[in-house]
Amino acid sequence: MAIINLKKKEVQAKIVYYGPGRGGKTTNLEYIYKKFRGRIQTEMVTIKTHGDRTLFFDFLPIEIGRIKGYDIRIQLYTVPGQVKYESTRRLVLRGVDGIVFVADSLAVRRKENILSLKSLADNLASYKKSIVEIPLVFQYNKRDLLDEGIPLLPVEWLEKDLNSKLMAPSFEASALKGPNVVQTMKKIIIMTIGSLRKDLT
Amino acid sequence: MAQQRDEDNFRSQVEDRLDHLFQEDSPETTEEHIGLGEHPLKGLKAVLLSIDWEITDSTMDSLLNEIKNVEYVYSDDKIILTFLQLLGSIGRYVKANKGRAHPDATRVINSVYEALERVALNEGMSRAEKEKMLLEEVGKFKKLKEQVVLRKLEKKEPAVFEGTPPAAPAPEEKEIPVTESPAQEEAQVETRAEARFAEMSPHEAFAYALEEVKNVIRAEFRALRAEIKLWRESK
Amino acid sequence: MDKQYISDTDGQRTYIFTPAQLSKIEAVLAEDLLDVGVHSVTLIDMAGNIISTMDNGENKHDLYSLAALAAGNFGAVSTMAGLIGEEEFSLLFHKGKKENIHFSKVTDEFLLITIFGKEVSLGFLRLKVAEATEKLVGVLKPGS
Repeated sequence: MAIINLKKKEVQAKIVYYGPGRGGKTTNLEYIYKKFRGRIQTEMVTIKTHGDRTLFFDFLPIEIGRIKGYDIRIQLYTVPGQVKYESTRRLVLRGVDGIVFVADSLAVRRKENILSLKSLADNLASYKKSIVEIPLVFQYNKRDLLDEGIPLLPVEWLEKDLNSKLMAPSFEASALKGPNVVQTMKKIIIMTIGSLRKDLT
Repeated sequence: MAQQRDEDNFRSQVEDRLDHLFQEDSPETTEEHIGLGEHPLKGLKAVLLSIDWEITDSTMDSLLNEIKNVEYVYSDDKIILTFLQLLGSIGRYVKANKGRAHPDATRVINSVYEALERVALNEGMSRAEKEKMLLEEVGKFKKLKEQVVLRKLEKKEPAVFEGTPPAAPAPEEKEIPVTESPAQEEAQVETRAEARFAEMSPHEAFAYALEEVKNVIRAEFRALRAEIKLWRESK
Repeated sequence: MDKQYISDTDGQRTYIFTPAQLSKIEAVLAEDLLDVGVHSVTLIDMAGNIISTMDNGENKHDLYSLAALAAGNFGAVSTMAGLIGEEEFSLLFHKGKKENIHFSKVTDEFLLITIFGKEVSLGFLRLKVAEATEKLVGVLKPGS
């Protein structure tokens, strides 16, 4: 649920990075944090297990600055990907305004991608939100592994499995190395703010 | 013969063993047991802990009831009774005012109780020491009263002062001469009182203090009644 | 601007706070809580966004992270309540050596986070939070 503060002229929106475990959600945020902490005021909060897997969520607030007279503040969250954390994922999705679905390009994770997308749709529905209507961007992550000879799902397969009905924007990316991480983030922020703009007039 | 002796031996050993296993508790042990579990202040302490967490009519009523219980147990001990009267007074104030009570009120309640507990549990404490602790808590009580009045004057609660018969606010200020007088006069009174204290014998000093506290408590009740009346009228 | 909600409460997308509303909220937070000695008080939504925050100028904390964590924490604890057959817990409070933190629901969408020290007892704080909550509910109602 986005918050518009007419007194401070401020807009706050929540974007959640969703996807199967070990798919690269946290890596996305870590990359963004490392790259921009010098330029923007931000602190990353993570709640992890000892094994370095997200336990509850990661949180990265980003102040974009003033646009059309309003200060825009975006809160990026990740969810834990492991199957057993379904109720936690639902909690973190509360009040979400935009979603990045980070799909794992590893061939062996094909089924997990599909199941994770289904769980996203179900969790959104529990808040009376529709995966068809909410701002959504796909990121097909780990494309850099192609060079290392590891079997990856072709992008066409990923598109067919996940995006055939939704027809959402998608990016091939490597959260570890950097390509398209920032572009993914920019796209979802633009889409999310865009969907709020009518509420600002 | 030898067999007989063996049997006797064996039997006595068994008897010894049984005696050892099933001996009666010594009288001392049993008494201690009752003493630890049943201290008269235990209930009061429990209620005060619950008030730390929750202030409702129910918890405050429990406090006031528990104070009555303890008063019964210590009906001969004037010092403890006075402690309990302080607790009851502040307790009634908090119950009547709830969220509008002074934030320090619960702190003073806890301070008074701690002093009370130390006095009640410490058999070896001299009467003079006990009186000293009591006087310290009376001081804190009086200070709280001052703060309550100051706060009311600062806030200038219109519901209390405007449009109400002049008689109502006046009693509050007149009938509590000992504690509610302006700070300066109070300070003078205090120094004079302290000088007098130094001259008195411990018993006289205590009787004087007790009289003071009684006045304070009487005045407190009057103020409380007036406040409740005004509150009801303003509704 | 009259309307606060852009869509229904369920599946709602945006909540707009008018300057008048925010001023009223700030007044309640200041009078009922800050004035009795708490260190800071923050009103957030269940998504972790901050609606309004006030502090006593002395104890500064990273409130944006706190807000995100508080929403998650409250959500997790509420879910736990459901799992043990409770509708909700009446007290969510963490006690520290110097600073304590108290959470309290203000309608189903908003949460009040109060950080306080030894100056205020928990029992007294809960009374003030209840008073503040009643006033805030009035301000947060659509059309107010």
